[in-house]
Amino acid sequence: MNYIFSLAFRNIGRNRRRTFLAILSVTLSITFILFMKAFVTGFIDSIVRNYTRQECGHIRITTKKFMDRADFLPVSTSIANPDSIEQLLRTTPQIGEHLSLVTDRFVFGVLLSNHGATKPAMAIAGDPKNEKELSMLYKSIIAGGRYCDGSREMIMGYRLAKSLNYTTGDTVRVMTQGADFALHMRKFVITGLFRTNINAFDERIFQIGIDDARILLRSGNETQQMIIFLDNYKSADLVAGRIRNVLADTTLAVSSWTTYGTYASIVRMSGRIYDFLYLFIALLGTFIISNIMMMVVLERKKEIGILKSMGMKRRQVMILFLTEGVIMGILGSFAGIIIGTLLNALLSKTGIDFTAMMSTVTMPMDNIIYPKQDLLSTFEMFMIGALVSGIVSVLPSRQAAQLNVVDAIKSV
Amino acid sequence: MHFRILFLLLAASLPARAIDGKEILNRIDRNNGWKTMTSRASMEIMIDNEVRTKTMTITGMSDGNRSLVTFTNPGDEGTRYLMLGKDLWIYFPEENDVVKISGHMLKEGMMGSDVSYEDALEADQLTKKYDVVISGDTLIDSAECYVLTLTAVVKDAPYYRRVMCVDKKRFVPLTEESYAKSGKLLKTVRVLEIRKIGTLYYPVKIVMKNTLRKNSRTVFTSSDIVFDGPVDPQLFTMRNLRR
Repeated sequence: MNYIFSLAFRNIGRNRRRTFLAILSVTLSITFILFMKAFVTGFIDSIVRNYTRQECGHIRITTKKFMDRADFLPVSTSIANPDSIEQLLRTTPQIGEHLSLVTDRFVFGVLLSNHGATKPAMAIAGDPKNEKELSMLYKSIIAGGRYCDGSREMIMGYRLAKSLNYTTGDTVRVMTQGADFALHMRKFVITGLFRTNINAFDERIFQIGIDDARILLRSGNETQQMIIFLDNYKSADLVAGRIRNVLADTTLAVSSWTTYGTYASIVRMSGRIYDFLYLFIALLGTFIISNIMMMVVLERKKEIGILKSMGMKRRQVMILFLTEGVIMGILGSFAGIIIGTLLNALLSKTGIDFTAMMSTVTMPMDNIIYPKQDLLSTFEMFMIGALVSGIVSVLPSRQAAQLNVVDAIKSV
Repeated sequence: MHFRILFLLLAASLPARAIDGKEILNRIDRNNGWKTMTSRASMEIMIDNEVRTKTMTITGMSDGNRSLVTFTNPGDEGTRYLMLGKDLWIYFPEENDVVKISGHMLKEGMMGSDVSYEDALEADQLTKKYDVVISGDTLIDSAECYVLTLTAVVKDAPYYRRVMCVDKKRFVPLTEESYAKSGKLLKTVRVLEIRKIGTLYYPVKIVMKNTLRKNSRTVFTSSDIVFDGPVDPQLFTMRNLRR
């Protein structure tokens, strides 16, 4: 078999231009796929990260009545005893070890008005200390402002503030329907404006303390949502199932981020769609190998005939041509991996800025996407390149193997 | 003599002048024709199957076009509503601040009740806002009633269509169903008790249901009603609201 490999290596060097073309095609498609995979990974991670922090955590506990009307963010159906539930979860062995953070939260809609301008907005009310880690809004506070640590303090998205002519230091009246269905109002001072470059945050969100929210909403010590973060968001389904088994209160609903809202299903679906896309692009890129191999078989008909007459078996002829195709595929994949990795390494530092394009988009994704590449996906792309090159080389290799010896020698 | 008796008999046998819908509405409006009103009232709100009862007590003053309502129950004590024409301001005592309620917020339930701000603000006569047709007769709690169907003729009418059963003797709507233009039933009202105060008949206990909200109803009870008593017009000012 060793001589077949050396024969194959020699053969691909016979027409360097053609070989280079074949390798280049594979290189370009693998580079593109690698970049795309890294970009999509970064994009999806951005959505999952922002979505879980803003919306539902990795796991969320609410009442079932809340889930029935979740789109309306009702505040009248609350969890009566969040502290004892947290205590139970932390002390349950197969749950507590996975928990990173458990926090109470209210999220509710309001209409903010100022000097004739009215805008819909969403209040996120939580423990300021915990929300600091979750929403990371405090890191995005524009110079001159500060985080909302105290009572009657809020931070507001800079676009929301701009549309309502608010600035740091202004007093905002927040009026909304409380847990008793009556209208209540509470005044807050804007201690800072944040700029996250995520339009969904900057133009809709303001944050207040949960104690203030409880007073405003007349909800006592209850909480609308218990937000749970795990060490690894991928284990959310498993841990959510365990929590459901442990909680005796049947009026409560436990949901993993994968089952909540539209983004989770988009994330799952997009993963599958992109996998098919990578395969398709790889196929397109390696198709040129098939074309080239077809040409090579035609050109080397006489040579094939001579090899066969010298005793080379059909199987060996097939392996020879297959090997040539696979070698070109491997070389192309390897080059593609190198170039793709360098490109991703650069872009993972600088990011790709979509700020202008995102101005009308309200998805919870960063305006700047940082591609993310890992070892597994690198290996996968390399194998796809090599494998698909082999697959497209089968037909021409079979053709070569099945040539009649006499006809092959006689051919011009 | 015979001719006189014959004339009287003939007159008695003639059919009584038929009352039309507009006149019934006028008679209803006359029952609300007081110039000023002071009263005490309570709202009992029942929400959901748990029957969460929230009882509120209010004192109210009105001169027809302007009203001031003050809540006196614990939890809402000091909250005031000032209605001037079609405008509503709410004073929040904890914040010592006033907010104007307008637009779609007027359709919200007052203090979480089934009585919307819009319902409470409605002061115009029905004849100015609705076309009316007598759909028939019915009996409600042994009281003979006209069944009226009212259709809005102005854009600012709170409901597009209203079906009322009006007591033929007292000219008070005993039941009412309010509909949107789409035909969806929005509110139902049932009068449980009527009292005669002076020459006017006034519903002192009503049950209102907002059919868009599941399992909720509000019982509104009025007492100590005084019509056309002295009311200081300075009460209906923003300054007094904030006091």
